[in-house]
Amino acid sequence: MNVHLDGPGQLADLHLALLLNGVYTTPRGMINLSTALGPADLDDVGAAYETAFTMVRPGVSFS
Amino acid sequence: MTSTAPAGDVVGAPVSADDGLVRAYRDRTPGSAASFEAARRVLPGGETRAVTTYPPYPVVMAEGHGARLTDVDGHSYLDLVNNYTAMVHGSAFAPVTDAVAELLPRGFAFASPHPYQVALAELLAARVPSVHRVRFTNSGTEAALLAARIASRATGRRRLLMFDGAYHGSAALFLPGSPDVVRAPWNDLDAVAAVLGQPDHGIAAVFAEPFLGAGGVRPAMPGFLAAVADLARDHDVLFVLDEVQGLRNGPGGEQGRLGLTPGPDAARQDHRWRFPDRRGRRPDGPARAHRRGPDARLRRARGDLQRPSGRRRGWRHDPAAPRRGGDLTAQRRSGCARRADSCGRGLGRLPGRGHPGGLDHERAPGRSRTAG
Repeated sequence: MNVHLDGPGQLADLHLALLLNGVYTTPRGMINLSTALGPADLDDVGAAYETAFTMVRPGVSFS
Repeated sequence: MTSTAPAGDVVGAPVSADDGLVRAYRDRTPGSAASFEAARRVLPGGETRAVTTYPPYPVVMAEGHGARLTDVDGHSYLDLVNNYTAMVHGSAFAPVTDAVAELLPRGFAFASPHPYQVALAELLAARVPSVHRVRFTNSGTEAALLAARIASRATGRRRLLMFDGAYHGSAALFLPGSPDVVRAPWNDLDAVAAVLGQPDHGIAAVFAEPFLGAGGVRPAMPGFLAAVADLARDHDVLFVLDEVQGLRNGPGGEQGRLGLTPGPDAARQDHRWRFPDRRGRRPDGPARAHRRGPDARLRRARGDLQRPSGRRRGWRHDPAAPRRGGDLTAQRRSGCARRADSCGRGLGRLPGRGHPGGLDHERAPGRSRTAG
């Protein structure tokens, strides 16, 4: 599934929303994974992304 | 869009369109704001690396341990940047900190050769089949410049073929508008063939990343890079694989995963580069005395690109390229690499696209939807 954003402004929204939810990513949206991440961390990352997407686009749903 | 940026804010970068988010960020990070303002007084722009700054001001980190970073306000973050892949094992990885702590009391900077660089070079050469000898540099930019110089000296040409969206450093040579760079669309083999097929192409080297890093973590189509490498060899052009980021994708780098053998794997004789054949033998005759010509290889490569598998039949007898994309055996993988792969699969449920080791969000101006 791809996420289509309304340009750089909304990407900046997502970046700030992720920071507010305790996930450090790059301003352009790129992430990479370290070997230090565990399954619980990834669950937290997934939850933070869902929350962040909701903050950026209220009403968005996830399947 | 915020109408006015307070003094001290980062300007010139995309700004959040949500005032509420910006206010929440400012309320949460006053220490970062103060620290960045202090930095602006002594550092142009407040930071040495432009890529780590963003409006209204960046989070200022104080510590990092494992997968977590802590900012100067005491907030904890899961680190999904890892210093742009350099910290592949997370921050303060004990084997690294132990080794550095053991070394520091004995001195570490000498104007002389030292055994540590030899040990590291031997390790890299053992891991990456295409690496025979190593020249250490201070940055990827410096490494790319050296590769360009080698290619130019070896071929007598000066132009470079690069892909749209690729990043090979901040030197003027590699920036948009450079007169010595010809660009081709990513994953467009015909475009590469068209450039190299010109009699006076003047191309010394094809530069490629195994996936576009700064360009959006966009992987190469299966077989694309191997076909580009073949085309380059057929036209006596060096194929330079920029693994500044990709080398951390596995013990043998991304080239190990893809079965690539980038140059300059050639011997210079009679003022010409003589590229090894598919069995690693160097030709006795003219450098371009391949059994198959460029046209035949291009036709075969086009067919390969249309198949879903990354395997290419033409390389099955090549001892220098025994591994293909996805078939790096478990015996050759470190536990760390397996764990990272597992993490990548776990993140597959997240919306986004990109390489297994990374993800980038697609920006489509004028579109505002979440698509399945």
